[in-house]
Amino acid sequence: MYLGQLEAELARAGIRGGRRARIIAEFRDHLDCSPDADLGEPGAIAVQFADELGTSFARTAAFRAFLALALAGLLVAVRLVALIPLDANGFSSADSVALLVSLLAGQVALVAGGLGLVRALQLRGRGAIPRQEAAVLARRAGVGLTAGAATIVAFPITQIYRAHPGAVALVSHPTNWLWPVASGIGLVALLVAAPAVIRASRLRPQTDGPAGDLLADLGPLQHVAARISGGSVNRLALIVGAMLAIVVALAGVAAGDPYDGILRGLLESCIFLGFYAALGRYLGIRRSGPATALADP
Amino acid sequence: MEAEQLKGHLDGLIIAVVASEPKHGYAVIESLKTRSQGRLELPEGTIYPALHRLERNGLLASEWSDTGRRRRVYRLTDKGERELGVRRQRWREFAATVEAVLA
Repeated sequence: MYLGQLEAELARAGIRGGRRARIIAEFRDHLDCSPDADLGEPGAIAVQFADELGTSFARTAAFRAFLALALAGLLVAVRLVALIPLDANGFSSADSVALLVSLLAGQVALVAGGLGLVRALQLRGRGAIPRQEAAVLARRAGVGLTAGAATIVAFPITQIYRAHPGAVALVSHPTNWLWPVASGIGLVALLVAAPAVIRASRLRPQTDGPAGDLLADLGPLQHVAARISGGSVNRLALIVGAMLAIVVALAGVAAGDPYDGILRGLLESCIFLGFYAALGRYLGIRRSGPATALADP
Repeated sequence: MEAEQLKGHLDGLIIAVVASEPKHGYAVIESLKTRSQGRLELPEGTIYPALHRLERNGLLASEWSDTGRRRRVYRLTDKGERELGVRRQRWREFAATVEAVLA
């Protein structure tokens, strides 16, 4: 009777398969040892399992996604170095679009994965986090991995062969073997991290509570940022976008091409604000309610 | 002593009772009761989420034992042993501080 109720509650809380079977086996053994034991209310036990396991899964997903993205990012950098000897004039328009997609996805991966790591570090040491917070961690990890994969595959290897007139065989030029090897290892790294993200998406804590936002992500700097932005995350995003435009424009000035710098700065700022508008709420960067800082552990 | 008062200490108590020898869940509860002379009161089922969490954090390891009855047996890992040392030291300092003030 008790075990049946516990099994149903565990299923309701999202605990499946081997984990659920193991919990039931442990409780069965306990009841065999002490049939009158006070094991607690099945619903409460299931929620406790979901809260603690879901918290652990969400944090693990964020850490693994970031590690995979760091490795993939390094390999993308290797690929970009390999790209340097290529003749840019040989690029087709499809190559240019693919490269642009790759660069945009790369930035999304960097931001999502990085923010996931930051939030996971801030939540380290907490026994259980709210369901909304765990969802943010899983989404950041998932978006990071997806965008990372897009970064790698957006520029198909066949196109780079075509772009490089002298390329006829994999070993004929470093460009040719570096690309597939770096892409392959990067994709494998992302795939290895994917199960942790899927696990975190399937088992979430059951306890409700607020998730942090961009201000909370800033950790010890959040009070300074809140003062500058008046506590508004939207205003903070606008300030960051403007600063981004200024920094990139100044870099263009320093490089002797202010017009190009200003254009790039505006483009980067638009990309950032577009990302904020499109994915901000989904990734727990902005919230509909008033901003709240993460509670102390 | 009720469950609420144990918050923050349960993990340390569990790894302390597992440190002496590997134990299954029921034996962990019994050991907690015996060593506290019956003063620890908590719903016994709450020990299992804690055991799973400690295992995921690398402080405990577990395996099935089939000696007569199939049960999950937990043992302390090297990391758990280090953590136990840290917690013991921290507790002694805390207890000494509170004692110095209260006495």
